[in-house]
Amino acid sequence: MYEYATDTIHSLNMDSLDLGDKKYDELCQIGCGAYGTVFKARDLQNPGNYVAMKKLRVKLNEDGMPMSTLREISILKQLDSFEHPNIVRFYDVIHQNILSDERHLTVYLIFEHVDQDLGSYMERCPPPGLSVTKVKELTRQMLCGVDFLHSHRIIHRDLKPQNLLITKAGGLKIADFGLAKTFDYDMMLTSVVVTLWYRAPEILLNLGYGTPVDIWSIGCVMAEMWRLIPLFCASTEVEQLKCIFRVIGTPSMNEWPDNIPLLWSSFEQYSKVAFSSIFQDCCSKANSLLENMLTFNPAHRISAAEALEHPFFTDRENEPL
Amino acid sequence: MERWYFTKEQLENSPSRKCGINSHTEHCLRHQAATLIENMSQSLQNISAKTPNRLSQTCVHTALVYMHRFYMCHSFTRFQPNTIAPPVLLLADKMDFDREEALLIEDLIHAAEISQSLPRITVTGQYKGQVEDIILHENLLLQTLGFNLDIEHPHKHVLKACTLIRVPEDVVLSAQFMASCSAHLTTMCLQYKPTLVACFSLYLVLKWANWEIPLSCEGRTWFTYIDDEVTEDKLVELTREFLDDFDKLPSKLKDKINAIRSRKVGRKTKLKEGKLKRKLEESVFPIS
Repeated sequence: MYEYATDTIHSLNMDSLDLGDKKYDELCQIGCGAYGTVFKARDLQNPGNYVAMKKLRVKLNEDGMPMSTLREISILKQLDSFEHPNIVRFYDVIHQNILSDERHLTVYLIFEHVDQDLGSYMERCPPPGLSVTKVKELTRQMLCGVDFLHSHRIIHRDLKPQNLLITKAGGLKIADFGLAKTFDYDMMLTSVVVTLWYRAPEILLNLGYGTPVDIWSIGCVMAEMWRLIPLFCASTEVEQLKCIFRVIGTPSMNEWPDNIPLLWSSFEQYSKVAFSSIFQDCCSKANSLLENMLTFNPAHRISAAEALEHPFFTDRENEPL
Repeated sequence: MERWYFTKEQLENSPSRKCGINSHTEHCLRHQAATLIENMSQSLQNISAKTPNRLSQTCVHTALVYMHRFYMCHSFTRFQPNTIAPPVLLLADKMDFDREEALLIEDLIHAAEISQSLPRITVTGQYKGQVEDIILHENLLLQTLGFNLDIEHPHKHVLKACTLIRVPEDVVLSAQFMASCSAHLTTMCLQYKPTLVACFSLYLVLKWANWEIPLSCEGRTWFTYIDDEVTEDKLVELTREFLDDFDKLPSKLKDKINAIRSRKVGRKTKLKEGKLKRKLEESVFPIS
């Protein structure tokens, strides 16, 4: 049985379609996180083109390839066929043979490479910061991308400036989505620090979550684009919640979810701060949109599709600042 | 996806052919693999285990498509149908989004034993070897198929066509059955889009039942509503190919197909007259 199996592996290198030839030339590591290591690589079949190679180590269970990984990769492929302008292109999957370490499998996901993310874009932005038009345009593109994901029942869960890519033409593309289940078990093993700054309250409170969590993150990112500093920054869940309540106000006792370990009474009572005082140079429509996105109760938060219909985007006339 | 459609010449130059297997033998081996997959899915239903093992017809169909594709990259001389059938089913089941829990390899091995009338493995070492073997071949499949695992089935298009022209239940079922047969008995899934296969399946059943479907009120044939590239000539061609393949194979499916052929499904009396009338009024197709 085993001899035959080894034979199978040898035959692979010769018979299989693309594994024999090297298609990508690894250049340098460009990132490392809970989602694995990312490399920039040269696309050998399209000279002059670069790709982002995301290297994943998938733990094989006793039933072979995990079902969730298979499904998630397949969904990524399906989504890519729509070629949505605000979603990073997904080109290919390269799958390494099982070698000495038979309990793991290395899979490379090949994505479009974009040089800049929103984080570095904001860092490089000269004073006085991003123009209203730019903030509006980037927020709109974020919402379009997220609306597309949501309509395909995908929740990003971790939107932040680092996985919002900015192309040379100024377009925004969302990256790093759709692999939540694949990474859940590996994530427990890694001690990668995951930023809490863009997390919705329901995630911080460990409640079930849905598509509204992404809207919360967009709200945080939009606010950051105005101010060029993050809106809520803390390093623990409770601190993060306090940070949030200092701005949106501590929810009333009625609004506080039942059956959660964190007691309502453990939080100081903050009252809501007028958004216009935080975002002084923001127009009233932008403030109203922000308020709708940064709503404590996910059921009352605006959806991506609704947000795109918000007067901030639909009204034509240029309001004075 | 274009990569998984082949011309007749390409089918004639398959890896098996290069290893000395002739066209007819390959056809039989493909059918043998298909039958094993089908039998295993039947056996799985009878194995009591903690997870329900009822595989859907779409899951079996997905498995058949994986199998056909696999043998366009590898030869039957290297991979026997009984080596490939279990991992193909395993993979198809994992990709069946209606199922929450995947099939257990343990049950898969058991089903393979039943389907091939083999004795149960009791030696632990042998059993472990079998498990490893399935996992390894699952990997080989993934590498071969390149994660193109989402398969579009003809069945949903059959249903769409049936709804459009309002045919009775037994016509629908027979057409669905023919769609399944196309993957059992032919390599249509390697040559034609699911929409075309769907039109062919319904076309043949309607033909056998002597059902004429008139042109729609827009003056179009019914199948152009499913895929505007489909022509009557193409359907006639597929019918000829199907009957050719069908005649060559010894298969249990033959009896059922012959029954559909002779039973004359779709007698209009099946529908109560009032219901039929109402349905036809809503349809773009006039009463025949």
